[in-house]
Amino acid sequence: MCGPEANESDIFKSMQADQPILEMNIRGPISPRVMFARLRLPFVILICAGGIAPVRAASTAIRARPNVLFIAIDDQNDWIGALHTHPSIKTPHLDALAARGTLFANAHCQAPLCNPSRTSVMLGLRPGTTGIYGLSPWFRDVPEFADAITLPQYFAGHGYRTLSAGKIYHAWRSARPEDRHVEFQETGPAGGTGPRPPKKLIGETPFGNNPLMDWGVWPPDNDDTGKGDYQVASWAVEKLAAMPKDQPFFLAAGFFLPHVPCYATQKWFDLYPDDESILPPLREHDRDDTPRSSWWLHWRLPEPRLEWLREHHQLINLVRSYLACTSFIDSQVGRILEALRRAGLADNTIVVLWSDHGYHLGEKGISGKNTLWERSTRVPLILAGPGIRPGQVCQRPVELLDLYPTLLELCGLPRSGQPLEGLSLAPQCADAAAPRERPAITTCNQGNFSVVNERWRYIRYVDGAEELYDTAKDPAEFDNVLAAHPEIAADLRRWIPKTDRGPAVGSAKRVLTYYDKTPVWEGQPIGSEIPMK
Amino acid sequence: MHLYRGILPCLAFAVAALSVNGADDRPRRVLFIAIDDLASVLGCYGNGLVQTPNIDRLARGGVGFRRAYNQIPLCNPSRASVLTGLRPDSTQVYDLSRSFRTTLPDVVTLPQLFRQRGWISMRVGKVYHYSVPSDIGTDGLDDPVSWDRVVNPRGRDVLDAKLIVNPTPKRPVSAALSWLAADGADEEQTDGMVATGAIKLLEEYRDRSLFLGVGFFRPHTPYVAPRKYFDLYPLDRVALPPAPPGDRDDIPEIAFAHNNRTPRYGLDELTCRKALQAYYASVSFVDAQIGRLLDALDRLGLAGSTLVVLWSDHGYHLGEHDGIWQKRTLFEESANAPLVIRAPGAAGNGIMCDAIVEFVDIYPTVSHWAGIDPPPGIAGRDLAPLLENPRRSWNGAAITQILRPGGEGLVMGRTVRTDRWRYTEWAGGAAGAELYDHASDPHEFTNLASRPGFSGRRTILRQLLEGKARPTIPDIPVDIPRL
Repeated sequence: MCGPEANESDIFKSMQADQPILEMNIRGPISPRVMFARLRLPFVILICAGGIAPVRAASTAIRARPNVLFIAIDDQNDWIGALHTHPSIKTPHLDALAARGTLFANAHCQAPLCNPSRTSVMLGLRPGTTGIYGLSPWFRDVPEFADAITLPQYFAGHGYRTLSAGKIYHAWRSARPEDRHVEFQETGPAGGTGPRPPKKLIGETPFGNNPLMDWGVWPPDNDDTGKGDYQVASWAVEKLAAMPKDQPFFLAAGFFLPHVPCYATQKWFDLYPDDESILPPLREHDRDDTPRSSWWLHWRLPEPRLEWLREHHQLINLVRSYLACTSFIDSQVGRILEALRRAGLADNTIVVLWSDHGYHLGEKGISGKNTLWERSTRVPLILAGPGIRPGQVCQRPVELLDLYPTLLELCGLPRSGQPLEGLSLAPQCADAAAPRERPAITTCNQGNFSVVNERWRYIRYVDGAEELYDTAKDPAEFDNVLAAHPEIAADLRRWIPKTDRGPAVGSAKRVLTYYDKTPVWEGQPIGSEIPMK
Repeated sequence: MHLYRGILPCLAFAVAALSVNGADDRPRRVLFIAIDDLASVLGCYGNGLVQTPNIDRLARGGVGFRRAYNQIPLCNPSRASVLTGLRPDSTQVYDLSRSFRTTLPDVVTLPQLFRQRGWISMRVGKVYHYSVPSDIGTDGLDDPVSWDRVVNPRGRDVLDAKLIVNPTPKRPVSAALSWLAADGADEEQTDGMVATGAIKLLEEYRDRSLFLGVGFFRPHTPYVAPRKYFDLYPLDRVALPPAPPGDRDDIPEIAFAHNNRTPRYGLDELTCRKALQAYYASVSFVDAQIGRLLDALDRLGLAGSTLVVLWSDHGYHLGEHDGIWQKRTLFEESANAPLVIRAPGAAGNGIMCDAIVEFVDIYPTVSHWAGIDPPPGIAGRDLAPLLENPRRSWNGAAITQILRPGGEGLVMGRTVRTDRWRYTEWAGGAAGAELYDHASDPHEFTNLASRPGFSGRRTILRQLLEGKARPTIPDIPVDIPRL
């Protein structure tokens, strides 16, 4: 097991030199000292060596612990109202949640793809530490992580009742149904797309006409109740209404939309004009100052590229469908939050809402994810509830990886020997301006990283090519300013994790490998051919 | 000649048996190492680039046969031939599907023979045929009565199938140039698990007489090996074999494998060099696993009572003749294959042997070493005299054959290799003939078959084929897509 490495040892050193940070990190109700002491001993901590520590807290103490309502959204980029990133987006329930909690406005996923991002969140480990980069494997199929203790399992081990519906993990569909209680004690509907049109609404798409690559109004009768996400929300509403009061709970609800196919009913489309005003800023030839290796990360994918979307008059339709789906999901989040309030649980429940990664809608010439730019890495992240100051917006760079230690700290759970690579956000929940010396890091297949602080984005690809964006001035990341600021690049480069494992056993789907200067995408060597536009 | 083949070896073994078996009943064992698609690109065979320190070590302690020839350069039929001690025309196995038991239900295989004599017979990995990679982890086309116990490892090379580089995606990885510079440890790979499993059996059965078949799956395609083995072969040091302009002009079309007529699979030179790098990496990786086996013999104190036989099911092309890859030809690279025998105490140990020997010789050599008479009618010669004196005269001739689709139906090709010559004919010569003079042309660039002055030589060489390999196609059903 490769634990946190030199990178975090450096942090420890810097923290020793930087007293306020150290103080900040050891003052919480639990013992972050355990974590930082551990960071001095790289590689020695084994995952779940002894299983979950026995629960010895008295039931009264358990009852006093806050509940966790854990809401994940799939492929939801940063287009939510509270982030002011889109001129017409309508997400009133997310905005209300942000107002009663802390909105992390500079939050980034650890991998711009579902399976590796979620694996990172749930294990608290970076992709470069697990080697999970592709849509396979499910981490339980990797011997090293077969018995790893995930976030909900940790809560279960500390007296929480754990429940889940919808998409929390990407790949546990491959787990046998009888094994699901290992992940969550109780599971509800799987969610997913819901009703689908008899044939694709937009016609054939490139790269094999993937059935998921579709969008538009569906079903036509304005009835949302058949949608998988509606059913997931209904399940959560029922569970919250009937929740036993003698035990704290960890309830996870995972929404599938706005993942493709972006089907929503007409009323959600009606929220948005059918014109160019909804399009994101696009610059022609935006890839001219990006290296060729930036294309390798998404070399051959079913998500249509900008050129195809324009040629087929699908760009506005795609963006509008995506926005409609976001607003629909917002309404489902609203249903769950209303149920929480009605059950009288809102004051003692920590609500965390996150998305696994962002989504391009034409920016940088593509739709989809699998890139290291803002459009892929930046995600909505909101924490609300006891111990979290309302109405705050935190601009510190934070990582989804931080959720594991954050929730442990906010709920007062002890830290055992879990090797977690995130840093608790509890200080920022108390004070959004609390310093945080570490940038946010995203990994997109072995050897490709982005490093983001409050102003800059630095990217390094597996072949050594680099980019630098002044994201504060240039939020669309149009201009690669690497040549003008080599010192900034050098400063950020040192944060690239030293642990950079190859793909885990059974890796497949969207995996890029690189050996001896040859990039290989899903088994096919990439030569000098022109990237598909 | 006849005296040599019969009486002398018997006498030699009578003495050996007295000294080993007669004096005490110490358990002995045969470590029978089969490697898949290993070309003779080994350090001990004179290759200056490929690093095979462990096979080299085995050869230094035993006898390496530089001119050993398989009887049919395709996995299933070659293994059937080696393990029955019979030529393909006797086993009637020419394709990847047929079992030798179909024609010879009661034949006694080499491991079975040991089993009948009270030795424990076990297999780890690929000894009989497997389709690679699809059968890894199964019994493959096994012969169950050969074994008391079998182990079928399946490593991450199988689980990492989606990462394997295949520049010709329309071809399955087994039939393409395909590779992976893998992550992880040797022990995670199937062949690492094969070595681990074999070492466990050596430990568990150290007090029993044992025939242990250990079959490695690499360097068969896909060429999967941990990265560190790729790093041994920087691309700028990996060169494809040269061929003179027009090399193919005097080669009959039928001489090229039916499933690989396109030179280099149509790939560019750099891609082929990457494949070659990967092949070499796989060879060094397998060599390292063999090193683990040899170390275990030493550690357990078993080396002095263990016959080690290392062989590859056939040779392998790595781009010769302007882009031939893999097997299924009757050229030297395909017919020749590594064979190393380490018989403890043999006087010839440490000397490379240049006698022409055949893979059917393995059966009687191994059985006689153990003091067991082979069944009557087997095809080969006991190599014991060469193990005692690798430089003695031998007068060997090696016959290799291959059956393939051609013309209106099937064509049988057969070839004989003598000390100086290789003579090959297709459909008895009707579909083409080749004659190469190894004294002046070791790479078989110049086909002399139709040159004036060589017809007498052809006649003499053809006579060596008679009784060993028929020129005609067999009278049995053949699985043509799997030839």
